[in-house]
Formats: sequence, structure tokens, C-alpha cells
Amino acid sequence: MTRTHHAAGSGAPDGSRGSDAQLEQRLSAVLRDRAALAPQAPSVRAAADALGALRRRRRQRAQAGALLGVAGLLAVAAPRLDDVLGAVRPPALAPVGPTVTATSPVPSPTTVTTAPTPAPTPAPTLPWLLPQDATSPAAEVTEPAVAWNQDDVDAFYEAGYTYADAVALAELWQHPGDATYAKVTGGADLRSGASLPVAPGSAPDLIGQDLAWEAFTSAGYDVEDALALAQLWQMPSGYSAALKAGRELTAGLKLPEPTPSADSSVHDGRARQAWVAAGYDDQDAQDLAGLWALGTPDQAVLAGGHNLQGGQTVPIQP
Amino acid sequence: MDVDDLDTLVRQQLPALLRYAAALTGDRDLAGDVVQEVLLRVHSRWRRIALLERPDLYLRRMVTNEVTSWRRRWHVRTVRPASAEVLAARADPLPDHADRVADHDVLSRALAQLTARQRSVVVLRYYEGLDDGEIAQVLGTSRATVRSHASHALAALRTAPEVQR
Repeated sequence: MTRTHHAAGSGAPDGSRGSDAQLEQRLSAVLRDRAALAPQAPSVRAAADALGALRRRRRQRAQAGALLGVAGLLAVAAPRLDDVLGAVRPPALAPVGPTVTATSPVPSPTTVTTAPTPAPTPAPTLPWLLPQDATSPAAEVTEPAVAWNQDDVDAFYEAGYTYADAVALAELWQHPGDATYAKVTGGADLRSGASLPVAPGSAPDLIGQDLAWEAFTSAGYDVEDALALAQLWQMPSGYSAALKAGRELTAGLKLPEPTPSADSSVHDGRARQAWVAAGYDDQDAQDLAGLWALGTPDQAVLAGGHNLQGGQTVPIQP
Repeated sequence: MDVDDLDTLVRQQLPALLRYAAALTGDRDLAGDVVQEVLLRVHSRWRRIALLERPDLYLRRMVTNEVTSWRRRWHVRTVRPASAEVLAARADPLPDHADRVADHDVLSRALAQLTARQRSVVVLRYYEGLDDGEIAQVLGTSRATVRSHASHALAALRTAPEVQR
């Protein structure tokens, strides 16, 4: 990266130029240190990919719900725990530590595969969500073996397959950890009418293998606790907060009590989720804020989300 | 442009975007989540982005806006990290390393006191190395405004008590 050090503000007196240059050097050093915190790109991409698929499924469910009336309304109003927490949740986490092994896929009895089952291999990790000492760079796939093809990936997810299925398929097809390879190749096979050696949804969700996640849920905490903690800790998702809480519980620490205001935050969070699940984005929020003469797009998200939660509509399409 | 071009752009830009987000936020978790969110939006807006002359700058604008949005959304911070002074009081005497950590901490705290726009200008200028015209493109403003933000940011940093030493 090219870094150019610019002169400080033109109004700086001559006597301060030396200290300005020193300040700029200190700033550059601190910003480089902060940049070094950046998580690994393949992991972020994998998580974005999975989140995109989750949102598409939610959108499809919401659209189906609009057609089916009450049934659809219930689906949006009472989402599954892992769907709610998965607002920024990775689809599957690798086993942490040497004592946990990855789940091997179970081929469907109706299909035949000649590919040998390789030794269990860790799935892609999401290191920025895991304790630093649990991160294993060797377990990450740095480059998918195939080019991304959105149509193939869509076909894969629309057939009911999950990210965990993709991890299982990747292992079967001897591309361990390369879920993208499995999604693209599997999706292409499905589009050509072929079946896959793993049934949709048959691979166990690897999320349950994350020790922090286990610690959080086994202590009796649920989705509302996670969302309240996310609010309390200023974390971007309930899932991130659940992992942090799980690690603290494992370390013997006590979790803070949710603040009284957390309840309303949870409701707001649900309204935002309903907004996103219906396929709306920031531009839509701005449009709606203008239409309803609301002060900010965020107010439009909350108002629109509450409407959607209640089975009502908003006057713009996603 | 087709999906392959999107894939290429993301592959080329993703590591730099993550570093930019981390420099801007100073938070590994937040940087990952912010860029993840941006990637999803890039996909849905690709047709528009593909028409831009400098999609790389537009991606940085998206990251900048997303960071601002997170900060607005989670504006009440109830858990704060221990200050450098508290840590130093408990730490073993390791002068060089302690100095570096302390400087990092005080400057990070001073950066956090800047406005979102000022902080973005500082990061784009002193980490990304962009010139004022490029920063103006990222922030959707004029060069003069960029210079004004930079000047005020540096003045604020210079006079911050914890930065002076």
C-alpha cells in the first residue's frame, strides 16, 4: 500500500511543523497497528456468503408467508433461535482445539459416490469470532478451487442444502474446507439434473461444536439474552455476543445483568430483522423515511420493521 | 461487467478493505462484521458499482458509512477497556514495549473523540495514503471540506491532553 504523508493543516504555525510531523508519524504507526487487527479475508468472505444465503432463505420464507397468510406471519414472528442469532452468524464453526474432530458427512442411501472419504479435516474457521489461541490458519482455505458462480450457488441453497452440507460435500470431493467449491460444483450438478451424494440438510450444523456456543446455551441463556448482551457490549450481533459470553462463562466470569432498556432494544432488533428478512436495504430505508416524513432512515427501518412483524405492508417494494 | 468481475474486485479489494475497516474501528470483530455487511450490499448493487470509474473508492465509502451506521446503532457503550494508565500500573516494567502500547492507547482514545468524518479523513490520509481529491470521492464531499476536516482533526489531536507528551 502506498502511503503518502501529507502536510498538516495549512494554518499551522511554523513552530509546530516539527511536532505535526511527529504526530503524523505516530498516527501512521497506530493506524498500521490497528489495521493489523484485520480478520482473514477468506473467513469474512465465507461468512458473507453464508449470511447472503440465509437472508435469501428468509426473504423466500417471508414471501411465501405473504402468500400463505397466518402461516407465513408465524414464520416471521417466531424465527428459530439460530436464525435470530445468525444475523451476523457464520454458518458453521470449525472444531476448536485438538480434542474435537470435524463431522464426517453421511452420504444419502439413495445416491452412490465413488469418492473415498478422507480423514476428518477442520472446516473453515472464523478467527475473528474465536479466541486468538484457538485460531488455526492451516485450517483455512485461502483460495477456492473454482470461480464463483452466483447461479450455481443459488441453485445449491434453493435445493435446501446448507453451509454444513457444503463443508461435508467438500470433504467428500477431496476439497476439504473449500465450501465454495462444493456450492458451485454441487449447484452446477443440480442445475444439470444430477443428484448430490449428500441429502439436503443432512450434515449436522457444526455450530454446536463451538465450545463457547455450547457454554452459552448450556448455561440456560437464549436468544433474548444474547441480543441484550450484544446491546450491552456494543457488539454487532447476538451471535458474537453469545460467543463472548460463552468464553467468559468458560473462564469462570459472571455475565452482567441486562439493563432495563434492553427489552426495547430486543424488540427493535426484531423489527430490524423483519426489515432485512423482507429484503429491504438502506436505500429503501431512505426512501421510506422520505415518504413517511421520518427524521432518519433508522426510524424508517424500525417503523417499517414493526409493520412487517405485525403482518402489515410498507408502501415500497424491496 | 458480470459476476466474474465482481469476484475479481472482491478478491483484490477484500484484504485491503478489512485492513481499512480495522484501522478505522480499531476493533477486529467490528471490522469483520462491517466488511461482511458491505460485501452483501456490493453484491446487490453490483450493476451500479460496476459503472463507476473507481469502484475501490466506492467500496471504502461503503465501509465508512457502515462503520458510522454501527456507531450510531450501538451508541451506548457500557463496557470500556482499561486505560493505559491502569494497565501500566499493573504491568511489569518493560519500558519500550510499554511506551508503544501506551502511545497506541492514547492515540486510539484521541481518535475516538474525533467526529466520524474527521476520523475517516485521518485514516484515509494517514493509513490509506489517499490524496484530498480521492478522500473527497470516498466521503462524497469537496476537497475543501476534506482539508477542513483534516485541519480540525489534527488540531484536536494536538491539543488532546493525553496526546501531548
